[in-house]
Amino acid sequence: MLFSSELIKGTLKTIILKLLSENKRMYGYEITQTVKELTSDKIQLTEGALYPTLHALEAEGLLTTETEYIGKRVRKYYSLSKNGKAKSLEKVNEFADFINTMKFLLDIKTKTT
Amino acid sequence: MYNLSEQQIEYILNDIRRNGVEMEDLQLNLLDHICCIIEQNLKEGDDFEDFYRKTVKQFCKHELWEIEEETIILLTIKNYYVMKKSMIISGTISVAALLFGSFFKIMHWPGANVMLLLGIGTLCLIFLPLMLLLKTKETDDKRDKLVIGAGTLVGMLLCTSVLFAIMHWPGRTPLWMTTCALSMFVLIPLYFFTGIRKPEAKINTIIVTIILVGATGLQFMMVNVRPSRTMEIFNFYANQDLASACSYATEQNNARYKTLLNDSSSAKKELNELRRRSYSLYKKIEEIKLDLINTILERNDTLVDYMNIYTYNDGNYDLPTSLLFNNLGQPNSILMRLRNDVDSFNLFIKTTYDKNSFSMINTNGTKDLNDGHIILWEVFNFYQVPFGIVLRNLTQIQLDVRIVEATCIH
Repeated sequence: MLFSSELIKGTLKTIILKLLSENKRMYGYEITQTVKELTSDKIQLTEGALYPTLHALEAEGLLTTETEYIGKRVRKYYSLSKNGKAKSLEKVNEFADFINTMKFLLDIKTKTT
Repeated sequence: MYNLSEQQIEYILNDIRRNGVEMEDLQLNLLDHICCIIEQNLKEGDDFEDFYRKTVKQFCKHELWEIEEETIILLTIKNYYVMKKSMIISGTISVAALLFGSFFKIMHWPGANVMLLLGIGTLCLIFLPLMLLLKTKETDDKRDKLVIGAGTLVGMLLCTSVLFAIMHWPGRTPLWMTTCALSMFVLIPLYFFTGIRKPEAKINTIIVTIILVGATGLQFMMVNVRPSRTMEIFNFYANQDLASACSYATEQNNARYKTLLNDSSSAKKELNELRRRSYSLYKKIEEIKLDLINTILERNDTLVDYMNIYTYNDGNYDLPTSLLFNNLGQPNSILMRLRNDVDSFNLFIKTTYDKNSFSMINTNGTKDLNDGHIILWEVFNFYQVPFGIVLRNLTQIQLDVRIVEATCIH
């Protein structure tokens, strides 16, 4: 089953930050492929959501970038800045907490219905 | 792995650009991404263009430019908060600087002008432009944006006019007039006709328009209606008459010099010294008057002309005072020099002609009628005194010079 883009949208920043905290540096296509592999195709990031988020994270100072020439084209690698590392931890913890809360909330619902 | 040719890469990049993606950073990101997908998935012999189209279609809902739009939205939301914060901070700084600046100005304390400059500068250059940016972002209506733009422009001009007026910089009156005209004939009509079309804003628009017209009218009046024209015209005549008396005395004295210098028994050296000193003092005062008239009335005259001195009404008492006194209300160099020149003239008369002090130019203080304390000569004649009377008092000293001169040679 493929998750809906609405669900992914709220967690995209967390996904990117977490991935970058485990890999030194990644480029856009690599991020989509890694997510796809790790989730056995359940989460597929769309380019329309990924790149705006990457730019926003860079503007917030959470990511640093370096560019490399691959033949004639340019590849932009993203890695976590110092702030980004702290933010990544914070986001992951926040989301874990959120999952627990959701679990609790949904459990109650199933019990009452 | 498929091998992309340079032409194919060029083709993709051009297509990205054609589809409305303008940010270079994003163009390069997308180019690399698409190239990666094609390299991984396209097999030799497959149709490149067909595969490319299919790939790009999956990127977003409709067109590629949506990605750029989404990026801009995410980036500006971030900027939005920074801008809002800066706007509030700059607003607070400028209000504080203006409040303290005006208070210091009233008290004649030093630093007033710096604070006012800072306050108005911050308001004009930081607060108002930021407000313009934020407000135009909040609305999609082009007419509304136009009104906000015109409002900001008038606001900036108003601040600049006030600054020019306080600093007595040249060009202040035309600036006030431009601000009034722009407000009355551009901003207010624009605001009124934009607002009146919206049923929900109709009443509000009418009320605000009335307030704006009233405020602009008052501002116009402040600059153009004189408190007492009669007094100013009276001063004009007083100056003219004193000046005529001066020229008459000058003529008489010159004629007397001629007679005396032809007479072999008179002391020629003393006479020439008296003539030189009188002329020099007279001329210095004439220069001060010319300087005041040119600065205050924004003219470029080369001769003192009392014509239209009553047209000046820009803080009637303050401008001459600010030119002749410093921030602490102490006489500045112009008055100091004048005082020294008059005193040394007096000394010369006293030592050369042995005249008593009644026959000399009076630079003594004057007793205050209320509490009996002595008011300095400079303060009594020039401090917070209307411009016309400042000129009259200066001309009076010139006449005194001629009279003292006359008592020595007649």
